[in-house]
Amino acid sequence: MLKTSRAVAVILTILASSVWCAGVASNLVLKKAWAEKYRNRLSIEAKVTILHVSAKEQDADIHGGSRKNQIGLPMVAEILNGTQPTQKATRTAIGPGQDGAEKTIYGAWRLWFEHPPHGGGTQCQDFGNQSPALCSSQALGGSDSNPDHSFEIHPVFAINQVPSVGKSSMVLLPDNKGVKDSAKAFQDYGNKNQILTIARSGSGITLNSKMIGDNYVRMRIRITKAKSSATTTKRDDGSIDGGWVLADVISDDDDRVLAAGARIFYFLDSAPGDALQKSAAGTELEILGMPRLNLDTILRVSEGKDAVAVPLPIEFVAVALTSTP
Amino acid sequence: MFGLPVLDVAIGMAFLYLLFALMCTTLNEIIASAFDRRAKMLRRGIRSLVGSEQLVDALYRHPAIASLAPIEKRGDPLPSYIPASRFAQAITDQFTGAGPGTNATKPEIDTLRDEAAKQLKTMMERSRDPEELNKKIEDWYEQTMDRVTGWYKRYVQRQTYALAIVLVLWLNLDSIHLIQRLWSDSALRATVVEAAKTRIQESGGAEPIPVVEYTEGDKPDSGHPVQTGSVTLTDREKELLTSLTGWQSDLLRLNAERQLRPGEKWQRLRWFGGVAKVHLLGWILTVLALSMGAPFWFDTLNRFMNLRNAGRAPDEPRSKTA
Repeated sequence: MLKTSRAVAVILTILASSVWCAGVASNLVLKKAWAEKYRNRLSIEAKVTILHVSAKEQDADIHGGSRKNQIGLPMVAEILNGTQPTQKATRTAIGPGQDGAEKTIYGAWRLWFEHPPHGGGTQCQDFGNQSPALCSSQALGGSDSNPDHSFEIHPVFAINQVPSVGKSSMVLLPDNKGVKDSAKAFQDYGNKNQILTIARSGSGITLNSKMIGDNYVRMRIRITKAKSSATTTKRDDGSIDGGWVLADVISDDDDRVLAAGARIFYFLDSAPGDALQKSAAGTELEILGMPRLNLDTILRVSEGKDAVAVPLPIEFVAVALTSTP
Repeated sequence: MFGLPVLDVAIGMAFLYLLFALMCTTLNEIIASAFDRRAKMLRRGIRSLVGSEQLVDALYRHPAIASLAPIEKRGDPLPSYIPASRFAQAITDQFTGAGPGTNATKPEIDTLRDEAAKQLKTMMERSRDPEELNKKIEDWYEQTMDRVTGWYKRYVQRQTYALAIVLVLWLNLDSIHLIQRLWSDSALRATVVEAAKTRIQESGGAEPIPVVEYTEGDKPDSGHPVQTGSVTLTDREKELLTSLTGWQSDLLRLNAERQLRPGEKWQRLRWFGGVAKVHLLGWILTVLALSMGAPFWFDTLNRFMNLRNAGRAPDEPRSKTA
């Protein structure tokens, strides 16, 4: 039995030794009506002013950064495999050009705390440039090609009607150095104190989380619910552009279920789209998935509550097919 | 390996530090907002950028910037942030005479601080068109904003220390005393650990999470956010803090002294001297702990909880990850 004074010393030592690097959470404020609109959609279409375009990224993508756009958030539009010759037209289309004009960018929306403000802070969806003081983090940090952001259009499907991805470009390239395997990715999502806290009001939702890594996860999935007419996704003009299936993500070596019944979204004009549309329940596929926050779950679990904390609600956009059965 | 009580006391302390730090953060925000600290620092940053008070006044009168001031504030409200594009628009309008409201006091570049004038002249000469000039001015402005952010962070850190000292003395937050209480009272320890678990699992949050309403609430793509409150401490947490903090036991000692030695000179001062001697180290430790900030203690609490969960009984349920 330790004496009180010794216990005090031990506890103080434990607390003092806790001075190891701590990740800092940040807030993202969204308009509820906006979240309701996109909760079951694959994509978004918005007018975006691109400020600067990056050189080749580690994952072979090209970034176009924006601080002014119709979504009301600092953001990045990302061209999948943007360095490839097949993406030349899109690379030209995304460039800010001389006139700084807005571009209409169409692609998969992505909410993900990948590049939140450093040291915490709050970014707000603001359509009117009237943000209160608490939203000051959105204008200040990061370079113009990669401003501090938790919203992306990724992958970009088209810019000013110039199509970007398609069967030729939605593939996994050997020079994509940003791919994680699913066991490691899910370990990180589950074990890194990755909690999403959601505060609700009548018309706003505040999401609070620490930074999360990963653009791409190579994963083996087993379909649990095939696509149906209820799981197709539509654009603003009503045309169908994709859909989703439900699938278990399973580990490569021992068939463990890493995530049960995850929504896997697909884009119609793509190899993973073709495969996922045809897959019946029980089919296994290997895909390259891009994780994003599941807005539908966020709205559902926070319904009628002031604040709730949940493990990260994740869904995926299938951006390449890495092998078929 | 440490025993579970030691870990539970560490969890309890990390949790209490988190709650106290949250109180500090909230007070910090209230003060910053009441005194418009962000807005004033931004104005100071712009003043140091352009070096002319007259020009700063003119820029703040430009509609692109004036419209950013919060409409709900009285007097002469200042915007808390100005996007680079708006700054560039306002400053180019000032020197070209274009745009609304710029003709009243049109300053000359030569009236600017030497360095600013030189930089602005160079940008104008080297820009092929207005868009390129705007872009260069935006970059110039962004660099200054990095400095303003640094000023603000340092200001917040200084104010956090000051608030921590006030809070510690007001609530008598003695770390050593709190550890001793948690160590010797297993029921209290269990209550605090349970409350810590609830914060991690349900109310979460390393800092006050803003609750925000939107104007034009029904429309998905218009309107702006207005903060209506924040999620800080739950009622249960407030009760817990009240039961663990305060001056009650020290004041009892003072009353006892008064009864035993009525009319003695300097009694109150001697009492405070004795109290300070007992609590000083604990107070200092608490101030240092609070200066680490709520996010740090939230993270530490999470780590301790994970450590505790790793050693839980086999039939205790594991929290699920979606």
